[in-house]
Amino acid sequence: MMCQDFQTEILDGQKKEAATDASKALAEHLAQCADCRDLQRLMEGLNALPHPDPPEGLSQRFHQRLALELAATSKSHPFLGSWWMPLSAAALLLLSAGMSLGFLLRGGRDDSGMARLRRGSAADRMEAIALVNQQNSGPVEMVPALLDRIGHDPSLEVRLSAVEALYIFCSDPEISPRIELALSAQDRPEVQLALIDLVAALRQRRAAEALRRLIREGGLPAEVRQRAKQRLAQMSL
Amino acid sequence: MGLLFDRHYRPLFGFFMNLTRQPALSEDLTQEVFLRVLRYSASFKEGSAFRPWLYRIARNVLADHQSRLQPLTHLQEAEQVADTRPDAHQVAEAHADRVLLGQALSRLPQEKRELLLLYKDPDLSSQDLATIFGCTPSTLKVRVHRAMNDLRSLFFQPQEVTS
Repeated sequence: MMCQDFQTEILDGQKKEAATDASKALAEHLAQCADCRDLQRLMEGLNALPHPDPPEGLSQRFHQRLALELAATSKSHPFLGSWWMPLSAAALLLLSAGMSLGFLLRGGRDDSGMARLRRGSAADRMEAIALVNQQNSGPVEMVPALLDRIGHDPSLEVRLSAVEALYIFCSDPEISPRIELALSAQDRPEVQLALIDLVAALRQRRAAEALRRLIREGGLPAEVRQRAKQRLAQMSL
Repeated sequence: MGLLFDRHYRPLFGFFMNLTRQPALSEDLTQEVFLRVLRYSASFKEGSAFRPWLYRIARNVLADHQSRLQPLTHLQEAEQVADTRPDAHQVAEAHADRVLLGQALSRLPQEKRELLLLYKDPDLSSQDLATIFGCTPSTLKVRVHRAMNDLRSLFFQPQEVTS
């Protein structure tokens, strides 16, 4: 057998599709062939790559989003879709209601901005967004809630307010790709414009931070340092 | 839908994380995949395997995201490179195989990265992968072979490859 045959066997072995009686020949070959050992080492390395755990609450956040999606689908297309969609929506909304009831039974009345963002009238949701900088919740809780409003709120004003509120979290390094994803999924032109402005602001902010870092670290030729300072000053205007 | 999500979201999240290394983006992409599963459920062929269909959607979701935001993504990558100059500890750690392998993987073209990350998934057969990548099982094996050779080049000669 040639190296290529053994390499095929190594790759097939990953899928348990190799003949088992060839393993001994492979072992003997590996003892002599550095190339094939390298390939096997890589395959083992790939298998040993970590399996990142999803963040806490992902499942719950998806089920909430799914409930809204199903509710919107059944409302806008009452005669379309599968029969189970309205039922699923109802079940998920009941689940959400049950979770809220559980909270109340634990002795609390959920008046938090997070809860008001999802419930109540458009005015209630606007008020909750306006108070977002007074909430104790950090970006981990607030950003998904605001993005959810931007993507799904029936009120244009609420969506635009949620975009405005996201400026507070501009320092969060993970926010950019989420906003870009929200922009790509957005169906209201007014909100798309607001999101484009936000994306541009984030880019400018990152660029300014990079320039500040460059100036701070020193060791630059005077001409370069001067140009960096000029551009930074222009950005601040 | 809830059951499908609970059953599949962890490996799907891991797939996106290994590709993007961004937890928040990976979460959003994972959610978007399952929403598309819901929207396009009518296109699922009854009796066929669910996982290959799910990962085809996942690849489309990621491709859509990247194609719409290509200029921004490049900019971010450039900034991330500038922002993440290794400190002494990281330099020492960089000799570990896993770090080098992660770096080599990240420099592979997107499709080859996706192929290798899915190929190592024991729950996906060669036939499943052929379905996901829209080719025959024998073509798939050739592609895996090529991707592994490229990975090997990047892994063992990291300084020589620039793109």
